[in-house]
Amino acid sequence: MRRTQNGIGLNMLLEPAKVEAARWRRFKANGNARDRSELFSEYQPFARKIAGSLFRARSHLGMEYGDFEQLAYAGLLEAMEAFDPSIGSRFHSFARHRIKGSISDGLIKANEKNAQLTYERQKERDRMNSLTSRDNASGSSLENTAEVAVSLALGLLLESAGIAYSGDSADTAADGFQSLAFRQLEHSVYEEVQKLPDPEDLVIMQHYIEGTAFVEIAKLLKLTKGRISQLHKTALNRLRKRLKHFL
Amino acid sequence: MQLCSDEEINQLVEDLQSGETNGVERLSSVLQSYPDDPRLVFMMASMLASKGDLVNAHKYFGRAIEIAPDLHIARFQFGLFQLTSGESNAALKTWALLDTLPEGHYLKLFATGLRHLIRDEFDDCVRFLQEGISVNDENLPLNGDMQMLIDRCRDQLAAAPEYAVAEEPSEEQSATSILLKQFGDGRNTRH
Repeated sequence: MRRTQNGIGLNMLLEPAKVEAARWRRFKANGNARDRSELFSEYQPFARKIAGSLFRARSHLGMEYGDFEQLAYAGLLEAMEAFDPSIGSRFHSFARHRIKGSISDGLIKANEKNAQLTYERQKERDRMNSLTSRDNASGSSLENTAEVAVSLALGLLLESAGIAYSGDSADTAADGFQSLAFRQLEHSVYEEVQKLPDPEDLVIMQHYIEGTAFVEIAKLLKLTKGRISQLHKTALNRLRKRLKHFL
Repeated sequence: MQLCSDEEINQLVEDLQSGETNGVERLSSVLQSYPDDPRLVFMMASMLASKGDLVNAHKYFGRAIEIAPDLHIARFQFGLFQLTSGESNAALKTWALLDTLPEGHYLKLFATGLRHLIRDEFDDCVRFLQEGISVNDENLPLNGDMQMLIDRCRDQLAAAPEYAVAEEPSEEQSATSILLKQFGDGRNTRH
């Protein structure tokens, strides 16, 4: 009997439209967080595309692209909750208006407040708050500070690995910027993220690989933002320990 | 359970195949009169699947084998639907009752072949699918589907595994889930 790599036979049979329909069916039937997360990931490029086109049209408003993206993700989540796959309409056409609406509403609110924290600053603040929270902190303040610094560095590495694995990066190998060792490190980081327990893997993947803010991940996983912050810290601590020979 | 007469079914199949009527509407109206006729429910599942209404198709497939656990063609097709949706465990559960079919029955052979395929046992998969094709003279469109799978298995076996890439199913293949054809001579695959 000849066998080849596991899963090839099943993959030969898979029909993407059916796989997606099955996710919708399970998500709507039992609110499964993993199905919701997979659907969210599936449609994130679509949301980003809308965010990109609106950002180019309204770049004069002074907001960052990251803000548009987060508003698009909020709209995507709302659309996912409201969509009824049994009606037979396509999700893209259903979600397009909601995503655009979410961005427009967000821009109006930002202008009203005139003090909108930009996404990049919010992201940095979320991470810092998460890592400096006192729960489970032990050791001297110097040790804790060092741990936070390493965790922040690990976060930057995760973002770098995310860019490398999302295919968004230019090939920098040719100019020698990315050494083989660094790419191996990115690969190890990415592999360790895959091994994190559920839902820590989802939090890290969404935040660092997909660039989703804590507040949107909280909506996605139906958890509080505080819980996401805890999971983020726990996951980074776990990764830090597993990757200590690199860091 | 009130069943649709053979005459009505024949007329329905004829209307649907003519393409002159809205199939889903026509079938829905007949289903209103015979909501528990598993053949009609299965036909609706197949039609919805062919139109891409996959969530509702799943519901009707499930309903068909719930009403008639021994409607084996529906059971086989539902399992195949689940398998192609990435729900292999559900497919295996659905197919479990096909093991009660007599040895050498084409649906049992096809299901066995596909079980081997899930486990990447391509040689055994090809063997069982071929055997199924050789004995299936009841449901010829299904032979075409299985032959396509055999061809892909052979390609897989011929290629180095590290270069093997899963292909998207062709339109022609997807269209085979339009099972109206099966309501010809073999429409009553029940044992």
